[in-house]
Amino acid sequence: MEREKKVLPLPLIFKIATTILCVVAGFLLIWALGDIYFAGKEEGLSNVYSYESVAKRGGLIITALSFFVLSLIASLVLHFVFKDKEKKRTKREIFDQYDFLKSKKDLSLLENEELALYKQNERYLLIVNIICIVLSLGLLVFPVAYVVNPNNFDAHGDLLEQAISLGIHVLPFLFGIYVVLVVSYLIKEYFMKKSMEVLKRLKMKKKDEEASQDDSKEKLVINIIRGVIALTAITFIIVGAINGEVGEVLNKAINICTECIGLG
Amino acid sequence: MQKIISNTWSWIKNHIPNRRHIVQAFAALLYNANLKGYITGNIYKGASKAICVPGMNCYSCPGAIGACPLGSLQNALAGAGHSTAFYVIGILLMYGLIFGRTICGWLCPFGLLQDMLYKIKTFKITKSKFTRGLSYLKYFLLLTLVIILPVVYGIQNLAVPAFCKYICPAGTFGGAYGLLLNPNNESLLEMLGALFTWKSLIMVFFMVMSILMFRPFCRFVCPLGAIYSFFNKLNLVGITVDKKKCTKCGICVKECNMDVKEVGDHECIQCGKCIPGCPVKAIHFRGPLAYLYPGYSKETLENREVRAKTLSNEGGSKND
Repeated sequence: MEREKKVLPLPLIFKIATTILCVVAGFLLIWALGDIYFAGKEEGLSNVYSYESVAKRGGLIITALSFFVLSLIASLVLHFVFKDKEKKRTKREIFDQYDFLKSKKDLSLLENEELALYKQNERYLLIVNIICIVLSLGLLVFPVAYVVNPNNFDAHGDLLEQAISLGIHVLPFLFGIYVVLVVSYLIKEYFMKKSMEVLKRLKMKKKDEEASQDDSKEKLVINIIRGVIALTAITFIIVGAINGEVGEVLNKAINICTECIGLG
Repeated sequence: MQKIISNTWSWIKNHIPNRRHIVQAFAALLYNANLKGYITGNIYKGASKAICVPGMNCYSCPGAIGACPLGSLQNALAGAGHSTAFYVIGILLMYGLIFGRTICGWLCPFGLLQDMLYKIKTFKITKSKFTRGLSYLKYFLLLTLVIILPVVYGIQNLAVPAFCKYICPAGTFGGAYGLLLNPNNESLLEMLGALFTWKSLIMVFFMVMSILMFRPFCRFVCPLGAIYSFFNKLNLVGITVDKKKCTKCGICVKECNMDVKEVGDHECIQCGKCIPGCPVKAIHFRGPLAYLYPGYSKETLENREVRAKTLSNEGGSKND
């Protein structure tokens, strides 16, 4: 019954770019919508949906979305330009294969030299990861600080000016993060390839006897945990019923919860 | 004419829902059995609403005949200081122990909606290391919006079901739009504000993303799935892997649309998509699902394997 789906694999560059811009667009959306809400409350407007109030502040939402759409188009162009090169590199396969081999590793089977080489590669990978995280988070501080600062936006001001200012203060840092990610990715790929050569030589299967012994032990532990959870659940339900919580759940469920459904 | 008929027939054959989708549809119908509510625009007020349903289904939906477990948990925690949440936690423990994330794959109406949207033919965003990392977001949301915020506000005597209020698209879809679209609820239109805009945007966002990628809400956001995921190794109904048979080829993981690292881990929704693809037939259903999908039970798979071996041996001996 299952049919094959035509799936277009997206390269990592596209994903990173769209993700970062999604986050920025999300921040702007939250800020702009929050502004509409709180401004409506402060001014005592019963209907915050008036044309004027939305038109004044809605411009910023459109600015954020325009940034997102433009970057999406740029990413797609990048994707189609570098499509063939991506295919040759088969980046996804390297990462997946590395993860898989790493999850099944048994270091006791490694010889001393191989173990040393493997551990060295892992150490380098960790260092690259840490540097990458620290650098990208450090760079992210500046655009986020700019975006969350309400003084940088004026709902009544010139939107184009604000959009340009936003671009100047945010985009260079995003580009910096992007460069850091790509560089760290390339370095990681190099070390992963070296590690994988070692990992591939490992025997993956354990002896059947060891496996079956582990299996029966695991089953016993799981059954004990199941018993404890079942007893706890029954006790909790009884205690809750005695406390009158059933009535509370019923009371909440039979009345329309306007907050829960977003009516305020 | 014949071509049109054959094309239509093949289209119908390709679009016949599988058993899992039928179970999902029945579950959705069962949770929302108060069909009268959609006509009158009122929610159900019967005693069955004291019991939480296993899946995500807003209790303010006109059709709902049970309580939403997540909404009930938040409201129970929001009563911190003057009441306890034993009953709801007990029910969640029980559902988790019996089903685990099988609920996500088989019994959740919002999961069904996302599955249907994913069937729309367009380019798809596949899973990656990034989506795998993002799948941990739901645990953060569980901790902050479902537990910490309701408790903190609850101590100050303010009931804030933060996840329902600010995120839950199921509540907006089933509850808000279910009520607002009924002409009898015109008075509710006056209550619309920025919060409704925000929630509608979130709902639309998840619907659009559901077309582009597999179950974005379940994978990255759903705190109920996060709760049930803790039970995924313990659940009585679901999927199981025969470790002796498994060759760790990784085909099952590649086949899966969720961000799993292995079959049955915290991300696995136990849908069984990986079963037919396993080259050594090491994956099978356990519990009632084995009866629902008899072809995917341990016994059938083993019998098939034995029969295949016998046939190949017989064939081999005849050839000799």
